[in-house]
Amino acid sequence: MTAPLLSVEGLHVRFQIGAGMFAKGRTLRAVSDVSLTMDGGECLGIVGESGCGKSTLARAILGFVKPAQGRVLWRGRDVGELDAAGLREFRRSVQPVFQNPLGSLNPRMTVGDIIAEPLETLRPDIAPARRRPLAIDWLEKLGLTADMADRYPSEFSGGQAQRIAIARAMIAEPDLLICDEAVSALDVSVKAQIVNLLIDLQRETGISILFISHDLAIVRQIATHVMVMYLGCLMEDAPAPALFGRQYHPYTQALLSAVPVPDPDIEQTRRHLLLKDDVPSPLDPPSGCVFRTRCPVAKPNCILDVPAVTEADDARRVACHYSGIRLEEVG
Amino acid sequence: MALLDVDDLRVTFRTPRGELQAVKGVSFQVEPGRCLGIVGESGSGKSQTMLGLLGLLPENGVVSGSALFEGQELIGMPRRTLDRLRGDRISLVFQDSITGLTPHMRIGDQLAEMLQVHRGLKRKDALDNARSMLDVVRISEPERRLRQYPHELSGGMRQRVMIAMALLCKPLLLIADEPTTALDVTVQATIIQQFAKLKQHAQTAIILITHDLGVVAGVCDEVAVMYSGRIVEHGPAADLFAAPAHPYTRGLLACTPRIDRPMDGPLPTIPGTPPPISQSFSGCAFAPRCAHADDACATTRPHVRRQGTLSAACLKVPL
Repeated sequence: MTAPLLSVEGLHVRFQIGAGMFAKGRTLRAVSDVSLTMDGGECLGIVGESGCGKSTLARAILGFVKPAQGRVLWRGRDVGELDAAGLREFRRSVQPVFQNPLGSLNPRMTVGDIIAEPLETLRPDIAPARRRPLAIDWLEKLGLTADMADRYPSEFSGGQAQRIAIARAMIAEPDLLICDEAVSALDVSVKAQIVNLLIDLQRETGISILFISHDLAIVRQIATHVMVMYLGCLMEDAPAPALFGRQYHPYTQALLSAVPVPDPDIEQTRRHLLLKDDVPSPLDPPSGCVFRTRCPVAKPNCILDVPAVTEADDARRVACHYSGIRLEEVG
Repeated sequence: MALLDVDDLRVTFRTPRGELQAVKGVSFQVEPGRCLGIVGESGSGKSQTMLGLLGLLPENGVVSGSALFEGQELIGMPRRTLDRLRGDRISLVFQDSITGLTPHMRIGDQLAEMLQVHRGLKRKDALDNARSMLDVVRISEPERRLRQYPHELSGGMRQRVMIAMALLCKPLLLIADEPTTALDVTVQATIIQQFAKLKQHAQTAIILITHDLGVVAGVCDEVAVMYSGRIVEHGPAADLFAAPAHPYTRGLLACTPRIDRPMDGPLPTIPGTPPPISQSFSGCAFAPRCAHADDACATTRPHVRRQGTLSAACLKVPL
């Protein structure tokens, strides 16, 4: 059996906050015991609200932050133990795309140079003379025009800049694209263009995508598999149709119910499952199940015991003592 | 008579590169107990419209036209009169709740001050009112929150404090500019529900400015869609969502994914991007992105046409 493209095993990421000469500081648990696997051609959507650890998880996979515990495996090899050549190959294979495209493009470089730059280090096998034509190829593949290669990022709109950022990520022919809120800052009419572009890219190149977003309706468009996180922990995880079809975890139910539907007849009459308060601080997460302070069905054992991640029959994982309970039935 | 009657409002910015027209003649009315949604993408002028009529534009901004609030003209009103009106009969909620609260004052003091200044209440009565208002906006442990400082609260909690503050003086008009955009979706749902209660029970008129059609659908009775400084479509929310008249509104609705419907292939898109404020058009501003546009659209400014209850500024309506 070949190893999966990417697997994350029991990953924990912690940050020390406010530690100094006299202060002991506090520990922020950004990611707690998260495991996942991704196969080629898959699009895994990671959803959750602010502070749920979805971006930290992505950064840990990219190697930007060191896990406190657990491993990230790329094609079966521990990323933390790769040698220089292995690491370079990993860097070529896994490329990020971030939220703010204008902030992630060097304002003093032309677009052509920005797109070609990764080739220098990641693809030394490609001759320097070939770099610019390749960059122009990608510019055109992403719906821009060759003449734009000599212009600077500030001359582009948000949507165009995000296309440039995707071209730069794609030029070294990676196997996995990590999109962290890559369409969140874009206007509604532009967002759909970029989502469709990513879906087309995936169809044409077979690339895998890790798509991190707080926007569930957008995730549903693109993801083949969806993972729901809350305060650093996995809540529920399933193939996209199964997850959007039925939710076993009370948090997933509340999260989906909170997504507004652009239809006043439905939106002004349907019942919403409203949660109390806000997400607690990750500096001081609740004991037991992290969701229990806002969970409408929490019981005393939820305060004491951390729910184990259990597997359901439809390739679903759920971390809840009362997995499958329906919130409507509770009222 | 409408509570707020805005007629041909224009906002212009003087810049070193010449004049920028951010709002190019906008008219609408708001009635008590009703919610008007103003929808648009970046650069559509939706926020500048509100800042203009409330006298909150930066130094280089100039506003013209008319905005009658209870029959009183807001445009050109002396600064002090306008200041007294805002916070008393007109309340504001912005996207960024941290800048709306004074960092070195306890929440309770800030809320009580509103009532002491605008309503002449004694401190103790004002604090009692503030406590019950925190309850209304579903903040837990209100007694403890009153003694806390803004930085001790989460973003969602601060935004609810801002809304509590906006409601304390029982305003006739609440203007909320992207009030839930920075919030998590579960918190957004509770705030939208509070807005709905407010217009029903307190007869407060609400203007909700947002880019999110789902948020509009949750609470608005009427919708105005803005594009490049103008209202391109206006009408009752139910009709506008059910069968929009303007090609831009149609496109916007089509490219907003719905979580309650089965997926039907790739998302429809609108080609191109919303124009920057600096771009001016002799014809229809949406024509370069519009599938229905012809030569006339590029040269003739579209006048408003009716389609049932909706009015749309488009030469091609009814489509």
